[in-house]
Amino acid sequence: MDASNWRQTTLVAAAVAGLFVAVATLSGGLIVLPVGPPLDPALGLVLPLSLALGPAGVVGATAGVVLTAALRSALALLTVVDAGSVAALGYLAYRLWGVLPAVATGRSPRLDSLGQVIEFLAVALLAVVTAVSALAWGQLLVQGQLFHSAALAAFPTVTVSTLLVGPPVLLAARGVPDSLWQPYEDRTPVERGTGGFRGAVLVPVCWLVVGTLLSVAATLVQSIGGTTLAQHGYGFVFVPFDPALVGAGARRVQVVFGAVMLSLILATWLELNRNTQPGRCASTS
Amino acid sequence: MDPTLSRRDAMAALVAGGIGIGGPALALSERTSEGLNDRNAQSVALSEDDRATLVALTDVLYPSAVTAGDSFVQTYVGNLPEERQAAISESIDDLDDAARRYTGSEFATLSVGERDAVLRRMGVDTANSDPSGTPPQRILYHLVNSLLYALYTSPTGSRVAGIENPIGHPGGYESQINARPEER
Repeated sequence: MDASNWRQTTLVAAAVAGLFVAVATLSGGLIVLPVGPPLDPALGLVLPLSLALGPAGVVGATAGVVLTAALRSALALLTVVDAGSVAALGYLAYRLWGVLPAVATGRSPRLDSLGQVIEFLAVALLAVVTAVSALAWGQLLVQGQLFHSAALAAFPTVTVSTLLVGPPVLLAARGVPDSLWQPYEDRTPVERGTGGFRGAVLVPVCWLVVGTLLSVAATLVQSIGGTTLAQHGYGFVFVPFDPALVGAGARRVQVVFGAVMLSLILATWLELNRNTQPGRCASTS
Repeated sequence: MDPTLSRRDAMAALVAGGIGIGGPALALSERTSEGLNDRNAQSVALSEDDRATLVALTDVLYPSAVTAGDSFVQTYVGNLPEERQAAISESIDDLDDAARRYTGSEFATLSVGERDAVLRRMGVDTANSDPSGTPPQRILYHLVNSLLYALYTSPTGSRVAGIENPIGHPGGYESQINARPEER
């Protein structure tokens, strides 16, 4: 990356961070909708800006999270978790565009056709699943919060914010000069059936679903208690969920399971030259 | 019927919780609140901001037919054991931290809808109550459940819910039937 590109990337990241902080401040954080979960407009900016602007958008949004927390006098270890999940949301969306075989349109995300809208929905859902899993795991580490509790609390808001704010922002981003758009060809897409596809799709979904079910099951069984279960002849059910063994809500298992899932995801996305499709230029910019 | 929860309601709730002992406490709940003011003045565990946060929380938790003011909260919480008051104060700090994290404002300054959103965003609605657990679990135990307990064990609150018994009367079968709306 030459000096002018570096300067442009820095300026774009700073602009995105400023926009994130401004929207978070002006919106008051959460907007209560007539139905459904609350909307977080600043959070909704992350995915479309990352899709349009690439890593500069991701870095800007992540910096925006930290700056917003600082302005709110809410800097804490959880801020790192929030920033990490926002980075995952943006970066995975950016990298997932063009990866999903059934819905990939093969063009930059301009939302100019039904196919692009469908691809946007699929990419957004997978990125949200990964980000929420990472967020819940981070809260488990920092606060000891039960995985299902953190995941179920975050998933609706992150999903609604991304799906409601994302399309209008992407449409508005058409006005951004082409020189600032991250070329679709530079995204080093992964091919279905490779380890990359598994890391992009299967691992995040498995993390969220298995993690949530495990957490709910452990909490439920531990709430009933070993004595009660044994009295009814189901003492064996309690053994694998014994808090002395797995921790409250199977926290110890969740920590290890999450670490494995995160490692698999990182192993997928730290490979920058996974370009298996001919005719595309793999770039690390 | 005045749906505003009073000091008397708070004291009745405390009695039901075993904070007071039998007859003397019941008698206390029938008295005017003159004697309580002195004790309230000595309660230093909760600040005015803390009480404002609790009152704001009752706006979310309590039925709209009931209004809980500062005096109700002060009387109920101020007469709990000091350890409970300290735990409540810590949970209020957790709640304010979360409100700042998600909205940039203190919990008490938010609208009712935003307060509800903050509680759900924290996961309080899906947490299991634990007095020494994670922040959402502690908030559920020390704030949400305590305030709901205060409501439903107070004469006015239980009347609103249709589960009241006359003071000094244990209730019995008739009162249990009244608690089931479908048979009304």
